Amino acid sequence: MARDGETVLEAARRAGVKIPSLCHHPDLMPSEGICRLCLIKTNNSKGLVPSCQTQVCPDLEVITDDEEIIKTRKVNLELLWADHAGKCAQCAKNGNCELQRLAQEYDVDEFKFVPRRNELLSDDELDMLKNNWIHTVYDDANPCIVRDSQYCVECRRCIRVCRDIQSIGALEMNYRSSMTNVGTPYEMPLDCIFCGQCANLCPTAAIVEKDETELLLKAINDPQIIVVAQVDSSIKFTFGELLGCQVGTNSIEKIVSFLKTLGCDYVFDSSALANLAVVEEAEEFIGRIRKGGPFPMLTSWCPSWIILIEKYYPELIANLSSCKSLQQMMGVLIKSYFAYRKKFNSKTIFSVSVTPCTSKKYEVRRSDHKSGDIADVDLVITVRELGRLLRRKVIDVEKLPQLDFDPALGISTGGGLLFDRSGSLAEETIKTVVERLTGKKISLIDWTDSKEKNVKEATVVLANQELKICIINGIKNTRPIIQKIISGKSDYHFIEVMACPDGCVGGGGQPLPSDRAVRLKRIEAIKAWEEKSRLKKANEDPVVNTLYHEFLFKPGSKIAKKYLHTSYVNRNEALLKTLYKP
Amino acid sequence: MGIQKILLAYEPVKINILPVLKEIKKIKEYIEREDLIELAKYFDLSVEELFSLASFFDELKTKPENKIIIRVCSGNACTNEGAALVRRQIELLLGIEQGNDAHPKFKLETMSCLGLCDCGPIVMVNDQIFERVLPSDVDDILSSYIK
Amino acid sequence: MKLITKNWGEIDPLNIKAYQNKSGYLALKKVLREMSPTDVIEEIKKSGLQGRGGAGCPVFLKWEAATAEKLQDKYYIVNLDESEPGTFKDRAIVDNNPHLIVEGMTIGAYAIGAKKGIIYINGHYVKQAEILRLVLEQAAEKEFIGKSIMGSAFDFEITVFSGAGAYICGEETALINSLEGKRGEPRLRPPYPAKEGLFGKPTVINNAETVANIPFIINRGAKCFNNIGSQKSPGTKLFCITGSVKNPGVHEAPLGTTPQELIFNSVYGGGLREGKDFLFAQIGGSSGRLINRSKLDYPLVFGDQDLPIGSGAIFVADTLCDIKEHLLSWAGFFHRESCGKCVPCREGTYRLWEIAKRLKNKDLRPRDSENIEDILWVLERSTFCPLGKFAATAWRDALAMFKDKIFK
Repeated sequence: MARDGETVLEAARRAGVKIPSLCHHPDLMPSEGICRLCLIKTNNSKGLVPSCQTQVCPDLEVITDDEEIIKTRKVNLELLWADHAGKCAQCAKNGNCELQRLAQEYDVDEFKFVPRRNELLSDDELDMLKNNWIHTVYDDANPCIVRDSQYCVECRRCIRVCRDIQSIGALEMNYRSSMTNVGTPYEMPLDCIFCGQCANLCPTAAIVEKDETELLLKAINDPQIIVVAQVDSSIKFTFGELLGCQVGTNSIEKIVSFLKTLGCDYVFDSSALANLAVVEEAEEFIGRIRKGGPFPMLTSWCPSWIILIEKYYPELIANLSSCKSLQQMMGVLIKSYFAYRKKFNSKTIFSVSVTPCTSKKYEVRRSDHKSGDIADVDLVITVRELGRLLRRKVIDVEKLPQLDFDPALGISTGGGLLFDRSGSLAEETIKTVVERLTGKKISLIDWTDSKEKNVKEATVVLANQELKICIINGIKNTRPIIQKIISGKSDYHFIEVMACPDGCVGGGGQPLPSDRAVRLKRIEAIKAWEEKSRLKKANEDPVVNTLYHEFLFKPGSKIAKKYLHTSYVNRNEALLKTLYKP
Repeated sequence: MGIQKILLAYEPVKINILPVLKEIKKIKEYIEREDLIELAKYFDLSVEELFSLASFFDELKTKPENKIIIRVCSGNACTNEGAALVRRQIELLLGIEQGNDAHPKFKLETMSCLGLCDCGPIVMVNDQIFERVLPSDVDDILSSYIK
Repeated sequence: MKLITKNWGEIDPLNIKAYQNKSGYLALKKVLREMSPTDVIEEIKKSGLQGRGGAGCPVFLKWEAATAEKLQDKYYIVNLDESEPGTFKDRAIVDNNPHLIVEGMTIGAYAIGAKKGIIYINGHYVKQAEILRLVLEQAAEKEFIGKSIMGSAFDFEITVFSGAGAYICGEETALINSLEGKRGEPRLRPPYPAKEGLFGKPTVINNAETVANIPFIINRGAKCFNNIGSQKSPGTKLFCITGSVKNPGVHEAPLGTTPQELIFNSVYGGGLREGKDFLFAQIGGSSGRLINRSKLDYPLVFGDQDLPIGSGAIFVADTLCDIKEHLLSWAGFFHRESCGKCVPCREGTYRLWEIAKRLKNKDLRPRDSENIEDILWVLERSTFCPLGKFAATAWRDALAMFKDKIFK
């Protein structure tokens, strides 16, 4: 029944016995035991003990619910609710909040420790009531994540995921007593890589992805504006979770219908452009092979990874691929090629990208991602924001017509690959390179575990050299490899990095919960779909052929470089002036 | 900036972090971000960790305070000797209460026991300690700060 | 019977020779010349010495646990953080006979095999920290600390570490965290400090008063110490008597003495001041229990579930006191000193303080008295560390004893 070394909390949850907790999370072990909601009684100890700290052992008897335990949980929840009382209607997590769920389960009186309206003695007290936190911080200075400390329950999950899983450590516990608060030094605006893992784990609305749905609705409601949406790969398999479907349900038709019904004029599949991106990537890599460097070439699709290099390792900027991400390539082609084909004025096109990613909101604002005044992509909407639109718009998705994607860029729906199974970019690029340089077609790449944790590597053979490639998920896992590259000891030629744990399926904007078990199910579903689908190769892909024939001329051409490639900025000095990180 | 001199006297080991922060308090009113950046480099920690540490302790200040802080001990012994009346006198004289920012020059805050229970009521004005304070002494004490 | 306060006021605390003339450092000499570390632990075990910080745990237990660890690096820490309101006994030891602490801790370090010692002193005790540094210089000069102490193979270096203002740092694991450059938040136990303490090494933390008893035990023997005080708790205790008594201050008395004797006996508190009548006493500082006349004859010993001795502070309140002011004092103190880690303490002490302020201003709201009960409920049983329980203790007793006075 129970596994060796498990805690009572883990064992109980596996068995379906409900023990509440706010600070526990399966991806952050061992638990800290600070929320005190998981307290139980055992025959081995006096009084109440935290079940997240109690190891299972033979002959252990446990009481998970009795009058004393339930009253303790209820009062502790009511103490937390004193800061949240009356705020649900305006809250970003209304209906999707762990604290709310617990309040329902334990019949919490949210106004227990806060005077009720008819108990107030003057209007001044009403102001006190609304802002009954002495110390609140509201930080929306960055484009991706919003922090509002009045909702914080100090569970410390965000601190732990940022420090222990992502090795960034942008958030810490500050002050003492009732002023204790999760925050940044001197209340500076958050300045990190915006991967959004903190927002994924926050049980309340203290840290949420930035809500830009108003901008989408504004564009949709403007009759002069043509709204062209692109949908990122993994969302095909995660959007359904917002509708209550099982994890991994294929929801392509649902998302297209939803976006069209909302009012998007065109909905493209981002991965219809996948083969084009691979061709450009391969072209650049071949260029490096011929020149003898710089190696390793680092992929540039993950905006958080780029921010990490620009802020902390600017000496590796030369290693970054100059390719824009798939989203940006699609965006720029929508505004140029697609506009031209359809005879639209680019200025009237509103290009929106639906992603699982918070840092893409940062990417679209990069100054090098525009042509003159016209941004490649105007807006990034995360899947979770779509969830909020779903609730607000009260659209019954079940009744919608089954729709498929529009032909990407007016050409075809593609038959592109899915790039949210991490490693697929590296794989496809290497296969293309090997085929071009040796004529050999590789069907499978043999990935093995490297010595470093959570890094997979492989080797392919060219005519007169071997190419070593690796794929890394999660920023923490990149650090030892980066040290090797900087000290000249790395023998990799190509490295694909996705900042989020398990790749984009764990992105900062995916539906919640997004823990390891859920991410693995998503990956399984993607793999199963890939195996069943007939994916086109680059040379048979009409999107690739048409674009090069009609517009880009050839891979790596001047025009391809102008639209599909970019450059980077050293942000290290600016960072060191405000924050220092060893 | 002066904190370089402090660092010269302390090795970059973890046990010296709190002592160094206390030393900074001796030469500056509050610990600035630039100081934490220096310390982060010296002790191989991040600014986040250092700020988290500094903001925890009473004696370490991380923001400037342009008002004069008055504290009246509320421990058992001081309360017994009439500290509440002293506090009330200060509140009446200055028109302020603990926790509000109403007075342009003074601010009333709490304090914890200093271990001077045999000399109470204890009043602190900034870092200066006054012993055996009576309500009638309040006027004199405060006026020496008003000029 | 004076074990610790003997010679107080008679010898110049900063004169090491004066200390030596009164058998100072003879215990250390005896330990280094004639006793093995195991002998020392055995002697402390036989003496029955209990921790004087408040917990009252038998000292030899921690020492044995640390000795059992085979690691080379060990730490011996003296806890002089003394932030419990109404307690100033450790400060008094430094003011009057600081060498006692140095000698005692060196013996303790020898017993457990520690090479590094730290005196963690309350950040407010600036003068006392200076005294200790001076005293350590003197002791080093005479080779009572440092390398090859008194020509033996034992090395022991002591540093003074000043706290930065946090009552919670008096708790062992929080103290260790602050030494490691972290927030002074308590840690989960196990592992216990004797096994994994400062920087993961075996660490023994003893209160300053505990340590000050060690030279006597070595000099006069465990049996002699054991014969003083009571069977449950041998030895003496420094009681800090404050409040409406004639002779407030530090009074050393054998353990087992009753509050009646301590408050009213002319040798100690000397009774209530002119015109004042006894109402209640709080035993052990702001975290202690309240007693009324019915418990005055209760012997004060360690390990008593009904009346914990705590730090040994005794605050005496008279019938004219404003109990609501004291309730506010207790609530405000624990709110201020809560580390903020766990929900019941962080939020509970804050809401209790809000209620205490309303209570003081005669502005109680309809649900406040029920809420007091619920806050005390969670503080007593669901906090991460004992500070929660401490925050509830005095309120519980006050409500039981003075309900009418409070809610009239």
